[in-house]
Amino acid sequence: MHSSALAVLSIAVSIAMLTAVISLREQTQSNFTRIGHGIDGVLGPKGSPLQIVLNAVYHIEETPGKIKWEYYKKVKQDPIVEIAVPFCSGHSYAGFRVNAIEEEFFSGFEYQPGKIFSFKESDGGAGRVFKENDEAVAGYEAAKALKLKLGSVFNPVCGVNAGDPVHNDVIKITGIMAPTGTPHDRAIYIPLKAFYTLSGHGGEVNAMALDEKYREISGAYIKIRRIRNGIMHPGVQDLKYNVNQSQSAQFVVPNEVLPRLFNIIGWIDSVLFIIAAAIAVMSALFLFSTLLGSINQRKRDIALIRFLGAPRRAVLGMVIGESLMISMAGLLAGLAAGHTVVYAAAIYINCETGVVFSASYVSCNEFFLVPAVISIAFLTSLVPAFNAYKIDIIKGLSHVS
Amino acid sequence: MNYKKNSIFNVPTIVIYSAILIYLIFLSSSLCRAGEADEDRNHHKHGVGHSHEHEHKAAHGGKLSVIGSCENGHCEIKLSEEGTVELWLVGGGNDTARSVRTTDEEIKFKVKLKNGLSGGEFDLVLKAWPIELAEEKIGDCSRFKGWNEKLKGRGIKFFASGKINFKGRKTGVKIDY
Amino acid sequence: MIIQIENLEKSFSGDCEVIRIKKFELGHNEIISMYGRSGCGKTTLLNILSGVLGGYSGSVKICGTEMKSLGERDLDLFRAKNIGYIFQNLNLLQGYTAYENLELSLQIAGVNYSRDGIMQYLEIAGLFNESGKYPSQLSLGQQQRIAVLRAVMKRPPLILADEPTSSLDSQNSAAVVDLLKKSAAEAGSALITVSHEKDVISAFDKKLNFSDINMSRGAGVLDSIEARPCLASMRKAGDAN
Repeated sequence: MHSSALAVLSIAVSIAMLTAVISLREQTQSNFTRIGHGIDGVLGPKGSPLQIVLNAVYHIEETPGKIKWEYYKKVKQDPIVEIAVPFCSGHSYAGFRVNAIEEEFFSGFEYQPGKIFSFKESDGGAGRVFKENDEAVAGYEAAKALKLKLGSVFNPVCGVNAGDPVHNDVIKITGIMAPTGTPHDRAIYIPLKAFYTLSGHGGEVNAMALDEKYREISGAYIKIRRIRNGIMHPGVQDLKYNVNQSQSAQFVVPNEVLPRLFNIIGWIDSVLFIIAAAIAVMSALFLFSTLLGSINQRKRDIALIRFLGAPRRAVLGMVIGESLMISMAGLLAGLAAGHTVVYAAAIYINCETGVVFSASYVSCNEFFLVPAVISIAFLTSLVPAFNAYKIDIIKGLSHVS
Repeated sequence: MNYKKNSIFNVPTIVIYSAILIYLIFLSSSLCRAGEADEDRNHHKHGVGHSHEHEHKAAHGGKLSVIGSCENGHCEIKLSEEGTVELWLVGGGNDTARSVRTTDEEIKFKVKLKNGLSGGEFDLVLKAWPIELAEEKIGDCSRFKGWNEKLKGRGIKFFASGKINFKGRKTGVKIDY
Repeated sequence: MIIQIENLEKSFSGDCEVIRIKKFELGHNEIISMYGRSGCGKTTLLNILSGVLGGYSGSVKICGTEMKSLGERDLDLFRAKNIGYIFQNLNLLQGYTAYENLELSLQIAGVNYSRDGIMQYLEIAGLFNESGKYPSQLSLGQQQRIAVLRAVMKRPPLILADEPTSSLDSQNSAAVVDLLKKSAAEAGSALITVSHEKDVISAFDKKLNFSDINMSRGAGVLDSIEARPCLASMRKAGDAN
């Protein structure tokens, strides 16, 4: 009984690991390579494209530099650019990023096709977009974690690291965005011009609020026009090429950068997969030895069942059925455990990146686990079942009388 | 009772069944990973001293031709049905998305149409067309544009040859479009 | 006749003859005890009668069916339906409760049953409250009584009991024998009880000395030097008695 329970447990562990790896891998690729959460391109400074995407889209990492406002305006005027929203990053509050951005971001930017940011209570939001320089709006997750409400105040930190100096400016929350399921939920937004006028930034930065000639920004979110059937204008590649030839800026397409990242680190989930498969093999071998051992221990019982009149094939089927039952119990327990692991990971990932993972996500690859487990259970049981099949009644009962 | 006679703990049986089990597991994992396509591989074929088709990716969807040698640099050519020719000077090897600027203000080509199309040999002049977003200007430019009546139409193919001031050297270029 | 044996001969490993019975018959409802020295072939005969031991010559008919004419699967079915067997000890399946042991036997025999029916039998044997217990939770006497019920519940024409009381004390022994006789009579089954205990033998009206019907050379001389090779062969075949 104990060894059967251990066999169930070992199968459950391997299935849980496989399920968790499959689910997390697919959801990671899906979430992090989805249409850039509405962002077709990021206009940013020269440097690591990955760093730019992580900073602009996921509000992690630091921006590698700044670009000129004049340059941003040139890009904005390109005929294929539908919306270009400039932003400045580099501030934070209680671990959440505070980004300065233009109001157009909330009214004209689709974070998913057909969906724009909302402050309506019916959507889960509150309040309104900022109007003054001392106002801010918070993403849903940021507000929830920091217990920010309408009217809450905070002092932004000049930097994103612990110990960075705090601005004296008091900023008031006027709006809380309805949840979007994107990293935008984890940021706080202040007006772009407020960035330049924060106390302690120095006269040169203060002047940028008024003088576009010297103004710099961290980057701009770019949305490209669509042609028929919602297809992105093909000129995006030309735009990207042209900007990338400049000395001062680059055009990064998140959907091109992130898959490359996953290809680079794709070996990690391959390793996890191999480990899970190795555990599965060990589980199969453990099941095999469990069955074999139990057949040896139950020789008398099997001989007795045969003596009572059960045919050989019934005994064969009994052993195979036992193997299948143990394996299916392990499979079900493993699937439940695997999804529980995903649930726990989803909480952590959401905390760190704002990206929503679902514990109830069922990959089509999980369906392959069922025939795989059944096949392995069947094959594993063949030798023990054959041993049981071969048991001679008299020899098996010879200890009895 | 001879227990050992019934025992399967002999190595060959275990090895065979272990192999089958492992095979099944990896078969399942292969099925899970089905559908992943191999990435395109960028094969690089070398022609012999002439312009030739590369398998490097052209950044604008045009046709690449070497300038000197493949590692030295390429030019990318695109012809529209209206007879407009656009040319970009780009890097060598896989660097075909990186521009290379030239001091030339114009590039002259001798063009000959293919497939027996009438028109004989004619000149095509491509003028510098600076990329504003790349802060280029005439005399420090990687993009050129020109037009010729004889290149209007669909499916036009041609040979062209010319010289470009590329990376400080006057280099011949042959185009097979 | 339930049992009809003619010219039955059984040897182990070539030269070790264990059974040579010219003729033996047992009628319907006939209840007998069979006794004889240890190693004289009583269990061998029971194994032949129950169809688990072959390799003999002669004719053995149970309920008119020649046992040799049946294939293995048919023998299993025949045994399930027509023969109830009680072993000396370790009768029950350890992983099943008392109730389940009885139920399994009926299922294998293909006999219609009901929960109430099984519980009634358990009550007759004084084991109503033990129905949910596993054999390890029952005394030897209780286990043997359940074994008796298992044999008789399917109402087979023939019940064979091989030293059913040898592991029991006198009180439990008497209870088991009593239950066995009454159940067999009530079911209308013929019964052969093999034993070497005087109390058990005397509890039956009809008694049979196995040596009276078994003319085998190897029978009854296991204490002699000549018998030792024979005994070794029998043990090797797993049929030592």
